Parts: sequence; C-alpha cells; structure tokens
Amino acid sequence: MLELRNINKAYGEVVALKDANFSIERGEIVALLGANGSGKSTMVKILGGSVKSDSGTILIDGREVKISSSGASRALKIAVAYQELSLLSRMTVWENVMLGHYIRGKFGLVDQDANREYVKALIAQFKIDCGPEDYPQDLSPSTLSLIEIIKAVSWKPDVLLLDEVTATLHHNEVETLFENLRRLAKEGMRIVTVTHRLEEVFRIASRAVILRNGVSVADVDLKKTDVDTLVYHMTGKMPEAVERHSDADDTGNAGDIVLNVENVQVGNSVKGVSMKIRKGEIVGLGGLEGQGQSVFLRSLYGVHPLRSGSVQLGGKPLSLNSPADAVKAGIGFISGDRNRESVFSQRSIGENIFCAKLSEGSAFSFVTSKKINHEAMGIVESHGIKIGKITDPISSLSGGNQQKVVFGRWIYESPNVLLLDDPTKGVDVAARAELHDFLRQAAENGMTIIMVSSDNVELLDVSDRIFVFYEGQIHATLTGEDRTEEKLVSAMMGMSAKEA
Amino acid sequence: MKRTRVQKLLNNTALMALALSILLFVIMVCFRPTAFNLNTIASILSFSSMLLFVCAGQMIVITSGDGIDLAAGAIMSTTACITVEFMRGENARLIPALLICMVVGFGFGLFSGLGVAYLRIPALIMTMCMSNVLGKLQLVISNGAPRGTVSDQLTAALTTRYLGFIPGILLFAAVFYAIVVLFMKCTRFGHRLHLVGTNFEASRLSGIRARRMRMFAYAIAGMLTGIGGLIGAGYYRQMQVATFDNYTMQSISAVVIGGTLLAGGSANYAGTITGTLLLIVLSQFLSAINTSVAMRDIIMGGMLILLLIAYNRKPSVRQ
Repeated sequence: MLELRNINKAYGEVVALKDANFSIERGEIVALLGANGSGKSTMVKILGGSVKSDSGTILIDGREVKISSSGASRALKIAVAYQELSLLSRMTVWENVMLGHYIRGKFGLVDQDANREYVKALIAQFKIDCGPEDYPQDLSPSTLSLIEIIKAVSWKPDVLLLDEVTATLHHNEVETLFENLRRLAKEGMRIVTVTHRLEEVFRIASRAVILRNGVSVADVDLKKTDVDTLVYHMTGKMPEAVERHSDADDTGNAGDIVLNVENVQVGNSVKGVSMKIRKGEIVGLGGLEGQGQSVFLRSLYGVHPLRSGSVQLGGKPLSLNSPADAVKAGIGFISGDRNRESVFSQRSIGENIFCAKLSEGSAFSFVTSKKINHEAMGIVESHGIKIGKITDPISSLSGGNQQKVVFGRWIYESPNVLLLDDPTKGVDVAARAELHDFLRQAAENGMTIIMVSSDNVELLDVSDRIFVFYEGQIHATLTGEDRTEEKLVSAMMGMSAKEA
Repeated sequence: MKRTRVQKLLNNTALMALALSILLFVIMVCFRPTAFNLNTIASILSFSSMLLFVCAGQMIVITSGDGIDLAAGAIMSTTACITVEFMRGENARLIPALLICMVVGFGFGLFSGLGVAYLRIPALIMTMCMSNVLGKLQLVISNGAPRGTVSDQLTAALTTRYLGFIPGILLFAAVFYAIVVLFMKCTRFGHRLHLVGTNFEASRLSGIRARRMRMFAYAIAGMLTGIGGLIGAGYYRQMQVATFDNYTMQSISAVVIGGTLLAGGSANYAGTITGTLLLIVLSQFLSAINTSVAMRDIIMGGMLILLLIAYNRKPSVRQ
C-alpha cells in the first residue's frame, strides 16, 4: 500500500495542501479529484519528486520513504505522465520514451534495436497512431498525450500517476487507454488518475479521493456514490443542472451589441465559441483551469491568432495581429499575472498608469515626465488609489495597490472593451472589493467588460452574465436567477440537465 | 527605511564614477607630477567626448532590454573610413558626409535590430557577427588602407582648444548628447523604450509594439555611432581601418559603470558621461604608469568581466 499522511505544502502564503491524506492498494485504480487550486497537482508533484512537501509522511508497504527528487521517485518505482507535455521535439518517439533508461547492449552502448522493439510493442498495446521513429513535432496532441503515458508505463512502475492525460484524447482513444489501464491494474500496478471528466471517473476508478482547498475532504467508493455527491465534496455545494447554452438566449436589440463573436476557434484549446455582448455589460468567463477561457480571452486581444471564426467590434469586423492593434481598436487587457504581464516594477507609478496611453501616437511626438505624472495623478486622485509619491517605483506598493494602478492605467485609456484575465489573483479581500467597484463604475460609464476568473464568488458577484467553459466550448450561460454557485459548479464540471 | 545622505551619495553611481575619475587622476599626478598640465586635461576631455558618441548609442541599446551592441566600435570605424574616403579634404562635402554616416550607421543598426528583435538571435551573437562583417567591409571599402582626409576646417573645429583645455570636440559632444537626452526623456520613443526594457511582455500587452521598438533601438544607436564615426575621423584627420574597434568594450563598460541597468529599462544619462570620463582617465592612468598596451587591454577586459558579474542582476520584485 502507498500512503500519504498529513501532507502539508505552502507556496509562500498560499496553502496548497493542508494535512492531506491519500492511500492506494496494489492493483487499485483511484481517482484524485478537486476543483481549481485544490492541491491535486501539488500532490502529484510531491509523489513525482518535483515538489517537496513541508511536512507529512509517505509510506510504501508500511515503510517510510523520502522523495527528494524525481530520481528518488523513479527509484521507488513511481512514474508520472504529466499534463504539460515533456517530450523533446528533436528526438524520436522511441528516444523520448526510453530517455533515462535506455536498454544497453555491448560495451554499455545503447542497443537501438532493442529499444525500438520495446517501444514498438508499447505503441501496439496502446494502439497509438505513430511509429517509433516519428518526431513529436509531426504528431497530433492526442497522440503526444498517449506517448506521454507509455513513457511513464515504460518504466514498469508500481505506481502510475496520470495527470489530466485524457483532456486531449478522443473517445475511442480513451476507451483503449482504459482497457490498458485495467490490464495493468490487474497485473498489480497502482494507478492514480487526476481528471476533470467526472463521467470517466466512474468508468475507470473504483474509489475517489477528493481534495478541497488543500484538504482531503472525502474518500468515497464510486460504486456507492453519484456525480452530484462528488461535486458536492469538491465544491461544498450541491450541483444544480442547467440547460445547455444556446445562442437564442441573447435578448435585447441588435443595436446594443458591441462585441459579436462567431464560432471562434483558437489553436487546439478553443473549439467554436460564439457570444454576443452588449454595451456596458460585465461578462464573466468561468470554468475549471485550462478549459480554453483564458486563451479565448487573449485571442480577442490579438495575443493568439484565430484559427477560424470571426469577431465583430461595434459592427465592424475585427482583425488583430498584435495587442497593439487591439488597443488601437479600443480594447484593453488586464492580466492577473502582475509581475510578468502587467507591472513595470522599477518604473514610476506615473509611467505605469500612462503606459497604455503612451502606446498611441507617433514615436517622435513629445511627452514629458511632468505631463505623465500630472495626468496619472488625476487618475490616482479621482479613484482614491493610495500611493506615496507619483514618482515612486510601483514596486513600493502592495500587490493590491499595484493592481489598482494597473486598473487605473486602463480607466485612463478608457477602451470600449476591457478584457481581464483573473485580475484579482493574489489580491487581498479589501482591495478585491475596491477593484470590483472600479469595474462596476466603468461598466456604468459604458465600458464593456469581459472577465475570466478562477474565483466563483467573484464571477457571481460582479458579472451580469456568466459563460461557463468546458473543454474549449461554452457549456452553459448563466443569467439572472440562474447565477447561483450550485449551477455554476455543475456547469464547470461539464454536467448538463440531461445527465442529472 | 530612510536613507542617510551619505548612503544616498554612495548610491548615486554617476557621482561615484566622477569621484573615482578625480581620484584616479590625482593618483596619476602623484605618480607622474609632470602629467599635471592643461594638455593632459584637454586630451582626456577630447577622448571622452569621442567615446561619448558611441556610449550614447550603447546606452540606448542596453536600455531596450537584454541588449548589447558588440558592433558599435566596428560601425564607428566603418563610418570613419567612409568619411575620409568620401570627403577627400573638401569641406563642401561635410553635410553630405554626415548624412551618409547617419544613414549607413542607421542601416547597420537596423540590420542588427532586425536579427535581434524579429529573428530572435541573441544580441550578443547577432551584433558580434555584424562586427565581423563590418571589420572586413572596411577593408573592401578602403582597399586595405583608407586614402583621403577630412576637410581641414572640420579637424580644426574639433581640435581647437578654448582657454587652453576645452577642445572643440567637447562642444560638439555636448550638443549631440543634449539632443540624445532630450529625445530619450521627452519623446514617446524614449518612454516606451524604458518600458520595453523593463518588462517586454507587459509592454506588449499595454499596446506598445515592443519588437519594433527594440529593433529601432539598434538602428538609432547605429545612427548615433555613425555620427561618432565622422567626428572621430575629423579629429584624427586621417584614418586607418579598425581604429575604433576597442570602443565596443569601452562603451559597454562606461555605460554600465555609469549606472545604466544592464538588464535594461533604466538609463543613467549623467552616469554615462562620468562613466565615459572614468574609462578614459583609467586608460590614461595605465599608460602614465607605463603599462604595455597588452596589459592595458587585459586590465580593461578584466574590469568589464567584474562589472558584468556585479551588475548583471535585476532588482528584486515585491511579490
């Protein structure tokens, strides 16, 4: 038996796991479930050796072990197939799969034929559509996911961890994968699967361990439970099914429509999204992490190119090659990833507010620091942002105040449409409420706001309408009375009225 | 935390570089009292002025973020060769020569910038290749040894000494540098460049065409260095190939000593002046104490390595 007892892990002040427990018997398939930020990925990483726990014990067959590195994890016969693909594009499939444990021949040299045969057998077993000599760059995402799995299986582990591996797989591929997993379990392998597809959980796993906010809240026998109960444990709310999304629910006359999105596809993650958004509306985009909502939002800002579909802004077709084009067209963007994507840390508060305005106009036109600071001061005063001096670097402010400055940047620029990607991530409650007021005020003044958020309370609090993304599509639209946490949660899990 | 006045002074890199220059000068005079004369001061000011033309461009490239221009010296040498080849001593060709140097310098810079910003070749490699190409180009342009001179009037204007120690070239450098600072401080270009250098991704997401900005940073630096080529040729009157090649390393050292952040996003205008002065005083000092040319290069090179180690960090960010 593999057992994790009272595992704690914090990243700075963010607690990822709190006294979390988990166990799995030989030959068992267990699902590890949880909503956004519940700590399931952290748990997988602790077992894989890429993250160290702060405290707690790990036992294998009653013997305590330490997993201090991914090498140590391998030595304990644990293998992980990660959701982020780890394949090297310039190595062949067989080299990728066998990397780190090549079969050796004479004089310790790599026995290419033996390796190739071994991988070929695995490919055949898992019915993967590729040859051992192919290169990852030529293969489809679902094939790569499967290779990622056989890479883990090739180590012949005692414990196999699968982190969201079915996300990109097609229906028949999932079927084949499950047959193989059942076979491997029968041979004695312990298999832990992390997934957001709840219906799959019932088909493959016998037991589910559920994490909520880093705490292992339930350990349930899947034969004696239903989807609603799982969702309840994951979110603390009983799910309430909603009708599936349809375009017909867009009321109001066409003249109000500011943004008309038709059947937009982006890369492999957004698969046909349509929406009509009215002037002054606050629209929330919800969903589990990585369901395409963030990619969709960024594609409206020219960060990702559209693969197909069209976007109309104010009745005119919108074609963007870069964020600069988007700003020109009257679109703004605020990222919650402050340090990387929105704040110029050593630059003054004034410049941080003025920078969007700065992007307009000829490069040779004059603008003095005095003017920048004067204009920025106007925004600071009218919105009550607490700062020291306008010339202080923005890094002198707390995270919440930094984000207020970033909001100020776009309120000063005043685009017609403002896009926000999880804008209050890591911001304290008080500052968060103020930021929400900023948004409501801006919307009242006619700005149209589209916000992705990983925080359900925020979505319900601020938005007039919520589009819930599931696997790259809008799974449900919540308006008016429908905007309840129960319904939001059920839609996020991909449940619909028919199933429930 | 409140800083005391002393700490503030110590943190002012521009002033520190100036103080160090004066200190080095005093030590030099102690070693060789005969060096203390107007002539020495005038030559320090002349060489500093000449180097400043390259440093201005280097400062702009470094400010653009993850940037360094290893072709700066070669651009100056090349444009200097072009100047003497083109002017042939005729003063009427001064303005055309200046325009040619600016355009050619801009073009070389643009090419480096294109490689760095759009083809994403590391700046170090792209500009190094550029430097090698230009090194050979000088030979092609001049058939091995440039003939011709600049006009006597230009040389006279640059080498005349006012009050015995203020060289004419200093006045040219002062006007030139004032325009550069004005451009950097008061135009959208200057402000945008600082933002791009501070946080490339954030500047892009604020609507700034960050790649284009980065490319033009190299082009404008090339243009400024081109002007420096003309001035340098004017000062020496005649030219040899590769005369200014060692200005590449000196300009990087001077700019970084002056307090411009090597990671980008923060230019120190006063510091670039005093950093340039310090570099020149140092090299004068080394020659005053009779160090061989090779030894001087070793010391200057070693110093640059130390500087890169000491300054090559971004200030920590509050999470």
